[in-house]
Amino acid sequence: MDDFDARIAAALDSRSPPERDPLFRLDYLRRREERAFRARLLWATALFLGLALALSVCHALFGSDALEITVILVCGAGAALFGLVVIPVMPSILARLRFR
Amino acid sequence: MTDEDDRIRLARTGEGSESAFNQLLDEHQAALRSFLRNLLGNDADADDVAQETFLAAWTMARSFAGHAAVRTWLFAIAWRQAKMAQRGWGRQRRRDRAYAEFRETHGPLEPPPDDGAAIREALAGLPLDQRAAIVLCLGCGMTHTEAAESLGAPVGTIKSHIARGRARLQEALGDD
Repeated sequence: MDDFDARIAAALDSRSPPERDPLFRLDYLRRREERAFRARLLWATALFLGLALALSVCHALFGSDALEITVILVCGAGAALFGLVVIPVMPSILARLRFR
Repeated sequence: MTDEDDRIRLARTGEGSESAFNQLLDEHQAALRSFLRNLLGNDADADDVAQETFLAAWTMARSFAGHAAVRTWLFAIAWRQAKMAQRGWGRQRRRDRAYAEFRETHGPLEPPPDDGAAIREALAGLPLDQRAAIVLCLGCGMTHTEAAESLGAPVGTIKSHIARGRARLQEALGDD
């Protein structure tokens, strides 16, 4: 490495972040959580819409007799949505709130 | 940390170990961010790409083939992410074009008082491939072979990028 290369290396080195950077790791973890949450939300929404569509078809085919089943299934879908989206993130939320 | 340690940590990451991945992240974040900062010229954009790189590494940990060192593998992901980000940004390209036009009309720059700033400014005017090769080999201390694996190019191409980039830097700095 000659003098010019050493000058380049020194200039490049001056932009280096700190060796230990907890903020960077926190930002990374936050981003990962957000992405996982969005993915779960997307799946849950797709599941909910699928169920709603299936129920609408049932209702159209079997008439008002299917209303009770429809209500039960909608409640079930709501519970599944809650379970899929909220329960996986509860431990980390509780840990952050120091309740665990 | 040796590459063997990195491989063990990556294998544990593939099995879902958060702590193993955190150790990998702590070990490599500074070098990776330094590479991206020098490559992209903007610290916030670089850190954004670095986080995307670690997200991709977390997702792909299980599929690590082991042909290259873990460090090289991480830099290869970072390079792909940086290129994707650049394609999306577009403004960098406009800035590069504006800088090239400026260089054509004004000739070599007057060296500013800060040598480092002048070099970084001149570096920003290089094509992305040349910049990446120079940053990896002169900034991150990689060998030509490691840089070639990270950038997915033959060793000869890397040597050529460095020689051309170096010559252009010398010209831009009036250092002939």
